[in-house]
Amino acid sequence: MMKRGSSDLKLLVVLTVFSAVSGLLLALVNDVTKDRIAMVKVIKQQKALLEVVEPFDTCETETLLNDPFDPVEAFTCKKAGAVTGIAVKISSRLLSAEEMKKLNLSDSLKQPQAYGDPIKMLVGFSPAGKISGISFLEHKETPGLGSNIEKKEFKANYAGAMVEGKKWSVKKDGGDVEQLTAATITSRAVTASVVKAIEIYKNKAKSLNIIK
Amino acid sequence: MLSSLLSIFIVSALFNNVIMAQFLGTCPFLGVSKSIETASGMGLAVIFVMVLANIITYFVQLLLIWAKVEYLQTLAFILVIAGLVQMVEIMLKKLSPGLYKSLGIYLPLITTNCAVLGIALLAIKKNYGLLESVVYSFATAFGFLVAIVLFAGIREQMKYSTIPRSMEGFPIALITTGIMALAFMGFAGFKLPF
Amino acid sequence: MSINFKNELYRGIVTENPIFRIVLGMCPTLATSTSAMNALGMGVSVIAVLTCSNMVISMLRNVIPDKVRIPAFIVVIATFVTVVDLLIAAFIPPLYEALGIFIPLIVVNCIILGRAEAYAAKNPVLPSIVDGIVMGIGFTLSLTMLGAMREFLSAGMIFGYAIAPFKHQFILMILAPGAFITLGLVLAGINFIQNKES
Repeated sequence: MMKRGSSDLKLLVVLTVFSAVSGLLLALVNDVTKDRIAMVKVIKQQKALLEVVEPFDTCETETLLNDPFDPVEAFTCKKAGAVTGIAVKISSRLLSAEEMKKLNLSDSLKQPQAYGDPIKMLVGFSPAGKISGISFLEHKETPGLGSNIEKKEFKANYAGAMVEGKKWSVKKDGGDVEQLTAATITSRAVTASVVKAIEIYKNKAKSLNIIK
Repeated sequence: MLSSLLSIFIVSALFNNVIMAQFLGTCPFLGVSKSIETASGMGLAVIFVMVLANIITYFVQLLLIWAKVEYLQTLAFILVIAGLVQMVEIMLKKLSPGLYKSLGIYLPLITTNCAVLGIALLAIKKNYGLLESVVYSFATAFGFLVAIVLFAGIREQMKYSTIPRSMEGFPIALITTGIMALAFMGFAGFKLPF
Repeated sequence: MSINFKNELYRGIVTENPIFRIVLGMCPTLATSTSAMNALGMGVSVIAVLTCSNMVISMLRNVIPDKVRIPAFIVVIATFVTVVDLLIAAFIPPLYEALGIFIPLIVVNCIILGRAEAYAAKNPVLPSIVDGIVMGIGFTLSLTMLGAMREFLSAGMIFGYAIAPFKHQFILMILAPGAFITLGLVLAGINFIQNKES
């Protein structure tokens, strides 16, 4: 009995020491890498912003919907004090009624879902109310089918169009967006997210007195 | 709310089947699928452990965030899962010898089933709440059960066919899985009514 | 004792090849062989984890009580996996995005626990390190080969360079069914050659 107790104690001590050493080592590595990991994220975002709005000096970030993995954000980009563009980061994630209210979006907006995880994107707008660009930050759609959203031809559905100039749904549903062959569901999810981005842009632009 | 849970269920059980589309848990899938009986035993054990693991790792993650040590996630999760499997084994042995007899031998194999750790990590990455995480893990494990039982059925039939010598064992099993995966891709064309 | 590295390498790549001979670690093999580059990245991560964990486990093999052997091994392996995960996130972000959760899943890669249990727990430090390196190389070569095959069949490219004389697209090969079928055919081919030899 005695012997068993002492050997159990030894097991416990060994495992505790193991975990402690491992925790220490990881804390060290985390310390070394964490700034760089944060920097990688910032650089990625900066690159995506440059892709969708006119050249800028600085961008102000406003978090509209806080979420550790998938926040909704608005960027107001300025050059020499003047607004050159507004970008909205949004995903095709299903937003709850409460979240929709927080974003000032109407409840009647449809939220069709993509196949894979929510498609994350950045939609850029010019002060004049034109979509200046769209960039997909993250998606898990089928390679070769849904992944064709990354193609220029599909992006041209949005980029360059006036916010009020198109009926924002896919042709199959009676709108003006050319859906991808064999990937209507993905096209629907993207289009619905762009609609949300447009609404958010309008609210933002109104608050900045760019549009009425 | 209900429709979003239902959509999580259908998507994770069929569209994104854990084996056929995500390759998680392929080792037990190929290893314990010689007969329908063992396959369904393994499938049930996976459902049991996966749901429990997701509930526990949900709280572990909260603890990690609270302590600001998210980088310990992998280490904490795998230890919790290994411990959980051991505990389930001991408790099952004491409380329900019958169930232990049918599931017991599969339990140790589950620790190294990458689907359990994978789904726990994915539920965190997808930012699911507790209820969603439970539905997600149940659906995924259910998808595993469906896939492994179907596969075992095919393998039982295959025993009576002549297979070229070079194709025996793993090669034919993998090619059969490939064809099944092709069939599962068909689910992706469905439009959910909600 | 001296180690014949050449013989050991032959063992890792041919006689005891983790993927083609022992058929271990299927999940990452199938999931990360979508392109030669992803496969190579995964393989190198596995070499790093396998070598380090083999080294540490072999060093501590007399300290670890037999009863808690497996949890202790898991702690060692998970630690190195997290180190690799953080380093890749910081220094090779594109690879980090391509491999996703398959980096943390190296923890449950049967090859690593398998080598710890079958080799490192019973052998001195130096041979264990060599075992980690050669087994890792065997895994990496086979994985990269599969990745290159699938990339070539699906898009006519290897490592992103167009090799095929004509342009084609065969999406199935990068999707799940292609993974299973390619690996199945490769294993059948190896069996075929082996059967002919004997």
